[in-house]
Amino acid sequence: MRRPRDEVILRRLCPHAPLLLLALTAVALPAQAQTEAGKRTVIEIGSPDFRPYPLAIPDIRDMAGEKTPAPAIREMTDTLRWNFDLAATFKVLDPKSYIADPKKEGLAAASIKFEDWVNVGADGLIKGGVTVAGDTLKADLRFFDVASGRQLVQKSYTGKVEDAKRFARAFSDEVIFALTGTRGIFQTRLAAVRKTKSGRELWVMDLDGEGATAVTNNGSINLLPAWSRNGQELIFTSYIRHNPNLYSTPVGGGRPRLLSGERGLNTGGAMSPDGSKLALTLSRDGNSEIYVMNADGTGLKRLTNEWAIDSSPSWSPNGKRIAFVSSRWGDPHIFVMNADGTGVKRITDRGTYNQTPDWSPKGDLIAFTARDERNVFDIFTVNPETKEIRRLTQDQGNNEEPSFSPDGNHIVFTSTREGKSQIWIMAVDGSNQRRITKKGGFTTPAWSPYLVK
Amino acid sequence: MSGSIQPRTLIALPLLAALIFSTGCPKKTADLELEAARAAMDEARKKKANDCAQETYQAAEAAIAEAKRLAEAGEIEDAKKKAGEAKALAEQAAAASRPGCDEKKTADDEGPKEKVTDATAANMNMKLGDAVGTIYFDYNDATIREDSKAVLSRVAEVMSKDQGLKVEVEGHCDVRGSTEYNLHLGERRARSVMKYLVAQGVEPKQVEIISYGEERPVDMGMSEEAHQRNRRAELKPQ
Amino acid sequence: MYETARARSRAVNRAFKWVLGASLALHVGVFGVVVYAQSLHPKLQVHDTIPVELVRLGKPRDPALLPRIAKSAPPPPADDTVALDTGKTDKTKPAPKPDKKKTPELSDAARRMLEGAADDRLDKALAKVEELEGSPEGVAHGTTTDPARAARGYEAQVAASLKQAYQLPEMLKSQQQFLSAEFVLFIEGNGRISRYEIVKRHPNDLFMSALESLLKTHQLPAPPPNLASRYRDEGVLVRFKP
Repeated sequence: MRRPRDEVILRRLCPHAPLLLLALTAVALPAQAQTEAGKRTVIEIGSPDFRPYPLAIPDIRDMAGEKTPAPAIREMTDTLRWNFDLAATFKVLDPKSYIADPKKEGLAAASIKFEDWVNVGADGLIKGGVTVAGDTLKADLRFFDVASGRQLVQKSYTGKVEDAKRFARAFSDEVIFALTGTRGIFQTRLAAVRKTKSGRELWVMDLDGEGATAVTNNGSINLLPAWSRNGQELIFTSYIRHNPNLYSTPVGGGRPRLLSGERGLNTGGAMSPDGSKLALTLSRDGNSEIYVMNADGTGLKRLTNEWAIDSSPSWSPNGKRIAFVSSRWGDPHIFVMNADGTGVKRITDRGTYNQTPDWSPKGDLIAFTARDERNVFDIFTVNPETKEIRRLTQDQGNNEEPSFSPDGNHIVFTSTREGKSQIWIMAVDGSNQRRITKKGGFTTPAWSPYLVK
Repeated sequence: MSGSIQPRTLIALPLLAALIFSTGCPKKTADLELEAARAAMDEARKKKANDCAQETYQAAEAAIAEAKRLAEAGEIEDAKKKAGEAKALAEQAAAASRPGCDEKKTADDEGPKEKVTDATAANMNMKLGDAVGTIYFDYNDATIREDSKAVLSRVAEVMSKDQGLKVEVEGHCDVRGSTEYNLHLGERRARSVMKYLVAQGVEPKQVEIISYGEERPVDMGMSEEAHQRNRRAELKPQ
Repeated sequence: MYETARARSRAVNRAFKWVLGASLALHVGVFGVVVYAQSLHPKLQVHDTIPVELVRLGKPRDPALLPRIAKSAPPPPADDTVALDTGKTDKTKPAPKPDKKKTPELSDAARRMLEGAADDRLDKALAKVEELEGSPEGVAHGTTTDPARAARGYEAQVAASLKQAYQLPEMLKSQQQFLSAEFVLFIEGNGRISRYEIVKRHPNDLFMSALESLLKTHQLPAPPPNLASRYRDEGVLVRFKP
């Protein structure tokens, strides 16, 4: 029954996952483009029934045999459970229901009684053993298919005690990749603006809201963070020199670099998917228009020319089109144009106040904020081809400023449902909404690209 | 500033609801208008509007007294109108009363010790009187309202006579809507003010504009009234 | 001239209490009168209650307004799948995977896959075929001159044929929802798959090899002659999402 060949291949593939993916994208891109151009039909063979994948994550064992495991080990277990709860395709089974004694059962497939895990309804099982010695930490994490008893992923990590969460996130991504073939998002981060007494500062944090650090601390107004494509820098608008200029600053701290200092507003810097161009909104010609320039600041070119406000550019994943907001028909609506400014098309034909478009990395959806007829703000998606609009939030305070995860499966947004504006995450269909921040005063979140190569 | 608005609004809302559900008596509604006008007067008084924008403040006081008289006389509709007028005047007076006004007094008292820029600002204030201040806009709109034109025309008159005078026009929005769109909307508001002043004879170089979008609200409340107070352009002497 | 803020809020409070009290008194009064009147005239007794179901005949939502999230409708009955599909579930063709024995779980998996014909486009295509030609086998060659319609019909046949032949290895059943892959198939005039390109690969080797062995042996229906060159040269994109 067990096929060791597959196991070996999987294990060999996993460390090269990113490389593999890169190679695959290279193969996939031309084919996809061909599909768009040649209008080749897609035949889907499959069933839409969806059932969250039941996953058991027993407490990670302290291999030193301590009765109360080190806090770092607890953190690892918690992080693993939190991660797979977030991924809407999984259901983490309640640890209280587990039959197997986590202190006795070993890590190797041979020492696991898989019937015990079948009986609690698990399809997958994550097990781990950790040794903490002084400030070093060694972790052995494994993922099993319960039905077949096969070990699908095994990783060893060695580092400092404070790396515990990082290791748990990295392993979560390995499991996601082995199962789905797409990269996990657990090692990505969020940028957001935080209100302070003196102004607005940029912060970054992990997906679970932990590890929040300030990127700017200049006491001025710093707004609208966007990530550079390599995830190393934040592009933002700051009043630090009075005029609202566009800067970029290293996420890890460092001096901001001026990207655009035109007279008037310099906002909404959005880097093209290949990182070569920057779309932005300037008011230097007496009206808010969208421009595009090379990443080094040369070759500024104006794309729109309207009496109205044109702002908030967001690139399509193939870099050929740009979604933006325009009030050229009176109310602000979401529009799409080619990257050279031609072919402008309005894509929201419902609602009266639609803003903040963010184009999904999958390409098929644009998320946006809309004010409905009750004057409440909520998150919607629109398919740029069919113009079909779907609502993701409702009756839960004001929900605004959506930003897609790099896998296109999740959306980060702000919500006032618990009073002050906080950061929330949901699945792209609106399910599984959860609060990330523990304090209020956060706005305009931006989800990073993949940060780990 | 906002603290004094909130509890009042909280009390007023259930009261309003109770009124609608019981009888909907028009006399009560006039009371509410008066209440709002009084609130605005309180605000103005706190800001020492009587010192800074004496004329407007006193006009507001007169209007509110008249409104009260009309209400007592049973002229509900007229009373409501008058109360609304009083409220607008009081707000205008409050808006005109900013720290700059106090500085003017200090400058008058202490004279030469003031910095040059402050002196210019004080000079500006003296010349423009309570005309330098704040004008308000409609929702998602940047056109100059009729009720703002008189204020702006007075500013333009003074500024066109003395080209050494300079103002920076700050555009602001209420807290609803997206950060980025509001930055651009705020700038359109500031630009409308600039265009209006220039059309009235002010030199373009005398006017600078900047937008703060929804980042610098004067009222943290979420009521319609709070939103209206935030949808504004502030004229600041340079 | 004006009261202090506190005095005023007291005044407002008083007014509020007064209004609340008046409203309460009014309600109690009306209720009391009704009860009293009834006791005076026993004939006025209220009849037995007749339960009436209120059906809201609202207007459809203004299409200019943003959509609302509706309450989810109950799932359709299980038998509601396209007849074309279920009719074919019973092995009309032998399973093309020689290395796998058929087990109850497998046929179950296959059934679930077949029932999953809820892909709108496919359903519509299938429905159209039936409606136009009256035959579950789809377009009879040469009976149509509309290439688009013929293509739709043929692609529905390809989909049905692959669906029927494909079986998910039992070992992967638990991971079913995560598995997906895309191929471009180049189809010869006789329905043989001359070659295929992998557009999106899944890291699960077992899954990929199962799909590839299917594509290497599976015989598709022959394309309509007028479209043969299209399927031979351009191919067709097939997305497997078991």
